[in-house]
Amino acid sequence: MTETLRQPALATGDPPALEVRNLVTQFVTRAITLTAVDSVSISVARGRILALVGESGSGKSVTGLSIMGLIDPPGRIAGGEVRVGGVRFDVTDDRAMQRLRGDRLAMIFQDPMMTLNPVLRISRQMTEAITTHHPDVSRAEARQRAQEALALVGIPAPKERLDSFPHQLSGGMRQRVAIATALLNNPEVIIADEPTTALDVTIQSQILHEVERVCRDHGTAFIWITHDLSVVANLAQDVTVMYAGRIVETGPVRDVLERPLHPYTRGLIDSVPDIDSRKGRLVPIMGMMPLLSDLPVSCKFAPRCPLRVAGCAVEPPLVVRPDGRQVRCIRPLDTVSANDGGEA
Amino acid sequence: MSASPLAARPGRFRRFLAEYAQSPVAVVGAVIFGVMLGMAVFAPLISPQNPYDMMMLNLMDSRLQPGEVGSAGYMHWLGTDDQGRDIWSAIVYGLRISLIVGLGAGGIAAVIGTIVGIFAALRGGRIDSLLMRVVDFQLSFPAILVALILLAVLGPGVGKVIFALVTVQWAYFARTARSAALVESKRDYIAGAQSLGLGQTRIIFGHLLPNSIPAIMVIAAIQVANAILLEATLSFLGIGLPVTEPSLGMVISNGFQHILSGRYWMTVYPGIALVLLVLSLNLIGDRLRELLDPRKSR
Repeated sequence: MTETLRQPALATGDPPALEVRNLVTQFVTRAITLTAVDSVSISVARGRILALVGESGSGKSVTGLSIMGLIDPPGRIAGGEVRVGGVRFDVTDDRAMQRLRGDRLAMIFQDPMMTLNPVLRISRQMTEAITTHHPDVSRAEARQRAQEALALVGIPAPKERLDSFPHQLSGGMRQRVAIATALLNNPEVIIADEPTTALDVTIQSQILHEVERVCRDHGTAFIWITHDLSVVANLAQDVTVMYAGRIVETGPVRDVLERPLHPYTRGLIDSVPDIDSRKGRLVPIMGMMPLLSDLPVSCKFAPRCPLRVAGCAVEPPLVVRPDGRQVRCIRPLDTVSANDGGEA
Repeated sequence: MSASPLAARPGRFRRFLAEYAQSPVAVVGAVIFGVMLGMAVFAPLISPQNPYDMMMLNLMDSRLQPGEVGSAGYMHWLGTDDQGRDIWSAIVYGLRISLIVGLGAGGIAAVIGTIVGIFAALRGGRIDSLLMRVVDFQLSFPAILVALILLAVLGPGVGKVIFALVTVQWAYFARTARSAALVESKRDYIAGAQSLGLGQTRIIFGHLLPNSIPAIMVIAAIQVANAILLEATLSFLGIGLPVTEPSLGMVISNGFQHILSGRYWMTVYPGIALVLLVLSLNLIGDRLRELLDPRKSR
């Protein structure tokens, strides 16, 4: 599980833009310690987009916040390391992380209505992000850069928009401003936590388009946290599926979505309505994700798994297969016989 | 919500004023307060005499009825008291002191209470509990009692009255600021600011505080009114301000002894002024509460 994901297609020898190894995040109360993120290792190369998918409570958002060093007590990062551009950072060192945040690492949040400060003008919020990290940049220059960033994400009349307050902008515009703000210092990595979930589909596709362009033109690496598999299919090159704080499957998007290896991944795919599909009823995953306070010692998905066997009573390790895909299952779907329903 | 590109700078404040003006009663309150503030500021210009310059008083003019012309040759619209002091002038100068004490005490209490409240909210845990128990303790005493005891110990003086009023009022602000800060600190824009790598001080004063101000402003309007009333009460009881710095409360108190002799004007007119002042502040405070109610989406 210490094995990191490498794309054979990108064997340039550059260190990945972001590499996370064995990240463990816990929430500690007097009575109990909950492990929300358990030994998660991910890696994104420059200019690529990694989708992090899972149900609510799977630990995908906490993973994003942990990488940013934004876990507040009672949460704590109990282990693991984060490398940005090959350089290791101590995620628990507040000062170091504060310098990193907004400069080399940036984050976009889910709700564009809420992430901008309602009482401050856009210009103030954007220039602050620049001058905090680069005190030598003049106000005028910071403003100029903010204006360019707004133009970059497709905001019309960016100069006028700078003087707006968030409430004067539509939801889509606000999310563009949030993305522009994240881009200000030309970060190596942007972690996007369901940024388009609150937007309607036309705005969503416009924003995804802008993100793809930024990713291509600037070589920014993205971690795109989402539960929307259609976004994953259109946007990302790689996908990591999380369940109960663990990675259950990682691989190239096309492979994972077309030939999932983990029963949970297939369950997620089967739960998505498909406009031209022949599948009649949607197939939900039965049951609920177990509570972190009450995890089974077995494979965490076993209680809901239709393909459960006796061997599932022991949690399997995350196995790296010869083709580079990773799966945490003793019976990956391509190995089970057809009468178990490996392919629909 | 619609964003016309032309209206780039409508400004929150302008919008807020327009919204405020939708309540006629609140506008009346604001106008009354504005006029009284103006009277206090320009007191020497609009009053015929300095009522506390003994050289300007003439005992011959004492106890004149409203509308009578005194020896100095001008009409005493609201009459004079038993030392020949023009009541109108006494009211205008009294307003001055009352407003200085009210705004001063309210302002200082707001600053102290806000700092304590935000500190408690962000620190949490034992420090939060301890500070909030101090607030509970403070608020469990009647304000007038605490102020009486303090002033009995300290003696009279504008600074001492303000100190006593701050002592009884900071706790209201601390409680309000704490709850506002607790709500705001959980909002996403704080996480957004953190994700940009802004420092804690900057986040608190640049992002959290401006969003907590509306809640504090509502309390401030009411507390300034309360401070003025409390000060008037203390002066009426004779332990607030020294005789050389008479507030409305003292003017009322001075005239009160004549009310049974039928010389109502010495106490009724200053009383009306006090009522109008406090009422206007309460009207403003109520409107602010309506507009800034956190349950109303902004």
